[in-house]
Amino acid sequence: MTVKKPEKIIKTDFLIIGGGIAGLEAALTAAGLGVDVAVAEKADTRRSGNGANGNDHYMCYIPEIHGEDFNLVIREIRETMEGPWQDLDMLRYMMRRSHKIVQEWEGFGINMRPTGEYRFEGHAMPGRQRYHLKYDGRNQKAVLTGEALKRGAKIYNKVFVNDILKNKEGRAVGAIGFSIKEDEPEVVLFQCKAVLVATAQAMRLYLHGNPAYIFNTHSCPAAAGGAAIAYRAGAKLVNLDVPYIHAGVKGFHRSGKATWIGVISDINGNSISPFCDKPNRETGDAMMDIWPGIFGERLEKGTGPTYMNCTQCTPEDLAYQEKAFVSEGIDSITDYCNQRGIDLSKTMVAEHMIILWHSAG
Amino acid sequence: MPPIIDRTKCVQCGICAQICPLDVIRVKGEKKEIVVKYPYECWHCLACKKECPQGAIHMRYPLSHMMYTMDVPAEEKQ
Repeated sequence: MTVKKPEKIIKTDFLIIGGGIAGLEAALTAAGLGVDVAVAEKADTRRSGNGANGNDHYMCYIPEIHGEDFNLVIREIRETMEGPWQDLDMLRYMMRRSHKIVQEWEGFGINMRPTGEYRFEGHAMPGRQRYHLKYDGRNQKAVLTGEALKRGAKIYNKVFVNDILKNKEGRAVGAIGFSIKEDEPEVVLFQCKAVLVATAQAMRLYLHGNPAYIFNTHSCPAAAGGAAIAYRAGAKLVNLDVPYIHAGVKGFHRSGKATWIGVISDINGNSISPFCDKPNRETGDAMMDIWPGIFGERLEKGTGPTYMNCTQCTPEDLAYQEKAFVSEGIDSITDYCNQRGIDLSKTMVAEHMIILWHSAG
Repeated sequence: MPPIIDRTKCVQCGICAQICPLDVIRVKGEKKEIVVKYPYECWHCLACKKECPQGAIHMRYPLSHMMYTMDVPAEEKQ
């Protein structure tokens, strides 16, 4: 295969590899401060990364709602759910910033209160405080793209970066990759003063259970896992020892977790969850967060399969759930059910665990 | 294989090829033929279907992407 040589070197101050939510947020923030920014995105930032089609929950801390005791907030999050939050420093940092992000995104035009007021739902034990803000993120990537461009960031779509380039002193001075816009790839060279690798987790590190699509997985498999780029450039990598087990629809590569308003049940439709026996939109079923391994365990023990059971949901809850699937970007579930004639008010869907590798690189 | 393009509706604008997060759809040649080039990479996120201004795309879920379901008989519900 022939590869076109670049006609020029793209010069910038700050090169961001990866145009997902993190990359775009970094881009708009830096560009807003007057920094010359270039984003290299292998797809199109308007629909790329884990947030490609949306999200419906944002874990955040709003003091007016959650109270002033920040340490209690952190402890509750760590104890009730979200196993991946084993990096306490990162969790604290993110939660401190989270309210500003909510306000910023609301200002950008991302709907952070689809019901009219701030509502916190899902991912919670009954009776405990909830930290997942229910929002409508279906347009988030398009909005963040616009905000980055408005502030002068340059976005290079269809550009896949392979490696950071360093000078004799070992300092990052650029990057090399290629554009896949045309059938003949073209080498792309960046020259910069600083590099941010914002390529998210190594999504396809573990085989998924689906027989034909073994490398597809629950979250958008477009997350590039570019920690290797940083590693090769000599960066220190952290948290690579933290694997993460998610849970989602068996065979179908969708999760949503707390987007589902249902109860984890056995084959007869009886709840096996100690956390809820009736579907409710306030908490969802915390079983999936606390013990995603249960799906595999029950299969092994012969007491499976284990199902997401929405048959006891009110029609209002089912409609609410269907809208939330769109916000979360997992409405292919609805599309599939419509095509196959599956009625979630009568039929349960088997769930399974999905093992990922969470690289905070 | 996902996705399926209705050629009677497709005007070959190329938005689907541009927007797909996984580079599944490509625009081919001078005639700008829209090709589902890497169907096995499709994650059926519906980005192409949502962005297509002509509504020319629908998703076909291959057998391997089956949901395992179980009906709950009405009388057994608690």
